Amino acid sequence: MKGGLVIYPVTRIVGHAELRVTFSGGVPRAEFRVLNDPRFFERIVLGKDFRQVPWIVSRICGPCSLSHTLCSIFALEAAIGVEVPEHVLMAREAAAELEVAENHLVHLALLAAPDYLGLRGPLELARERPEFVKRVLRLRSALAEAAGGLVGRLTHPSACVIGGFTKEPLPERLEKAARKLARLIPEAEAVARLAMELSYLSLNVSGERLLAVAGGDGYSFTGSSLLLEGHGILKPLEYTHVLREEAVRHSTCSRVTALGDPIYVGARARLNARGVEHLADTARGLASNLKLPLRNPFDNLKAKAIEMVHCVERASHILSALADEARQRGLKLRTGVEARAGEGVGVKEAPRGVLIHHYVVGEGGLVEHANIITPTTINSYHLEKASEALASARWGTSSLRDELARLVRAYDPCLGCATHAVRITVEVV
Amino acid sequence: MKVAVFSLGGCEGCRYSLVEALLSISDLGLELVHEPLLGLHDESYDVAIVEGSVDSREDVEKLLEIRQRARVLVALGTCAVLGGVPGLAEEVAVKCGPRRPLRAARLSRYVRVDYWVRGCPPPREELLRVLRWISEGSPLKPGESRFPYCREQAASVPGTLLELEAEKCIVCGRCVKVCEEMGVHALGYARRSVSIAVTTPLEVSFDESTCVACGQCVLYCPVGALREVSGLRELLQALRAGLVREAYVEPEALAGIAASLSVPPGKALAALKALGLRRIVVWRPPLPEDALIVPASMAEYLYVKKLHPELLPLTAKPELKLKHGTVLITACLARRLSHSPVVTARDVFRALRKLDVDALPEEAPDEVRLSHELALQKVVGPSQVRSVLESLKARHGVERPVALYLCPGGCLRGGGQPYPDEAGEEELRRALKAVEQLIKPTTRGWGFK
Repeated sequence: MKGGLVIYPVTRIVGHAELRVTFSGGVPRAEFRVLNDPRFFERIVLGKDFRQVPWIVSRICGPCSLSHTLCSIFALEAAIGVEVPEHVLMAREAAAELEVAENHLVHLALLAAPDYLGLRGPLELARERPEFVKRVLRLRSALAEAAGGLVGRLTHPSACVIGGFTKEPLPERLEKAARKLARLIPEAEAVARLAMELSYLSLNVSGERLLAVAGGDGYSFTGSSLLLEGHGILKPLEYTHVLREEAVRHSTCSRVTALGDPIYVGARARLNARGVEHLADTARGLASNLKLPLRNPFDNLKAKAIEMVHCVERASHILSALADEARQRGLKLRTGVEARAGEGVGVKEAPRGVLIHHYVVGEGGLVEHANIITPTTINSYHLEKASEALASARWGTSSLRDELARLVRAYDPCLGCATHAVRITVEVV
Repeated sequence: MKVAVFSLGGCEGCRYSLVEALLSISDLGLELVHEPLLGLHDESYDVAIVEGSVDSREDVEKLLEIRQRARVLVALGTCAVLGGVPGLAEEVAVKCGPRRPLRAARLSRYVRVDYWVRGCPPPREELLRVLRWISEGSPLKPGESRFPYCREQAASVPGTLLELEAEKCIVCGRCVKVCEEMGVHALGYARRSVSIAVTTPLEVSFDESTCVACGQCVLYCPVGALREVSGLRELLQALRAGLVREAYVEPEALAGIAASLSVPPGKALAALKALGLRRIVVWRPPLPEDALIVPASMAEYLYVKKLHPELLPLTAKPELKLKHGTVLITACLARRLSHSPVVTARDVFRALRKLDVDALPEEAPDEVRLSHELALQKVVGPSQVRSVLESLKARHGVERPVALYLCPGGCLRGGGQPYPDEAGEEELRRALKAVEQLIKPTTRGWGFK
């Protein structure tokens, strides 16, 4: 076996990338070349007032801008020692779930599904199955609207700040959103069923380690610590002990390893870590035939489908609980914030997996140090290993090219996130 | 027409949030042929929609190629239109993996742009409007603005004490400079090129920014774009309704009113009575002694609170307790944070300037109530305040309690005084001397310098 192949551009992913696989001496070598430009966010925030940071880092990535906003808020609240009221935590969890559902929905229905239906893309899907695409778009705008009621708008949220929310939603509006989401559960389930029926290759990556956020209430997307397979629970600040981030030549995205091994994060990791028992009812029903742990990277699609339904369902519950609270006791959605020096790390499950924000705030509230590790950065090394495994198994077959592209899409990489910054020699321009 | 969507550097949030709009452009008679997110990559097109800023040499090459092929080029989103958040980076790497980064810049730095769609992310209707123009022919004549929302985007900055009306602003930068001199940094520049504007960081309201309501920017603004939220109308209403009968007026405020009316202070007092006030007390709020830092007003208190929070436990909170039915006439805009009703000397001048004050007889105040001089070290002006707070933090060189007067020149140049063209520095000084003469016989311990 020798030779190589290049897939360029990999389409239906968020960003520009190329996958190169070469064989030499019977050993496959895969390079996932991220071609998005680096944008140096970790430098942009230096010297800025800590209150501005969430709005700046939101611009790292459009699809998961809420995750960046929230994660930086968690880190900065930890740094300056702010405790937020419980209602804030509830509303943040609900917003995070709506974001996850929206991201999963777009990925499953529009970006990944055409692969398995023998179609070339969402436009063809819209021609072949117009009802399905309409349903997806309806669901998407309902999710964006419900999230917008809490955080202002879903892409680059405007109402999320350190200390809580700048506005307080009316109980009627919360209740209306909750009811609307509850009505949409069957729609979400129908989309999810499609993903659950997909068939794909079986594949696994040896030596992989799971990384997920631990803590929080049930199957949640916010939490207080990290879980690393084969190592245990880590406090957020301890991520620096086990994760190693290094620049590579072939990509603008750095490589992250845990104790030398590839790590996987995302829906599959979360489902493996949290199990099915805390899933909301409909989602648990969907997951009943699943055997955990899921070891095939393609299984990420199924995990995403289950999570999407879970998120719609759980966000609806939280919103109606918030509406009740608002009627009975009134919501407390903001607490005062004062500048104080400190260091803090925030962890959050973004739609694509573990997101870590780390800041040091100096006297007067100016940011002195920032480090951000995004899920796609973590996953990209795992993706290379999985591509090598796939290439070994299927070398010489005519479908290999398509299968590799499908594999990349199954990870749902988000390359804006991946290239927010790279730490190498810099020059003042 | 065939439409292609490209993405240079950026978060891709524009394309992502506009997927639905892009899927629907066939309704406008347009055909989407290139959009990698949707799996389309046909390279022959008429209209190119480009998202993101130009972040690398590779981006420049790509953009030049797109410009050559496309008949119409649309810049999509704040990064493409203005450079966006990535444009804030002042340093970039020389080489990064396979890319050669550049400082992030807007598209028009390298190529001609035909249409701009602004927003981060832009509203859906905004993109569809521009695409409709392209498909049906632009309703604009050549040379007309193609920023559909330019005026509306130049929004005002609200606040409970100060407000900024961006449409009046001529971007002279005097307010930004004085805010910097005060050490407050609540005002700065936003956006670039023709759209540059003066605003608070991220255009938050003044109350949410580091603003301490010292009001200096209002004095320095030559066009009235920055204003205090006036309390005059409320006062006049309350006077008419008989709810307010008595006024406490600070000596510096009285001096400000007299100087701006160009009359002796006795006539200014008479004019105040002509407004409907029965009794006027010349008064200065007592400064509490039991703290190391004694702010002259809420402005100084907020300054310590927002910029040196660790000194807050040593700081007295300025609180004013006045009788019901009393209005305070002050030289300090920030007094309105601790008491109500309060009007500034500037407001009162506006109410009085139509009266024939010269014809009124001079009057004396009904009462003079000034705090005794305290054993305080007086610190006047932003640079002194800054250096004293720094040495307090280092815990040396400060033995006596200090009274902070943030405004340069103390209350005589406070943020509530008439504009400089209404009363200059010299006139104010002379008027304050006259006020001192007027109230001297009745005071003990009056010695404020």
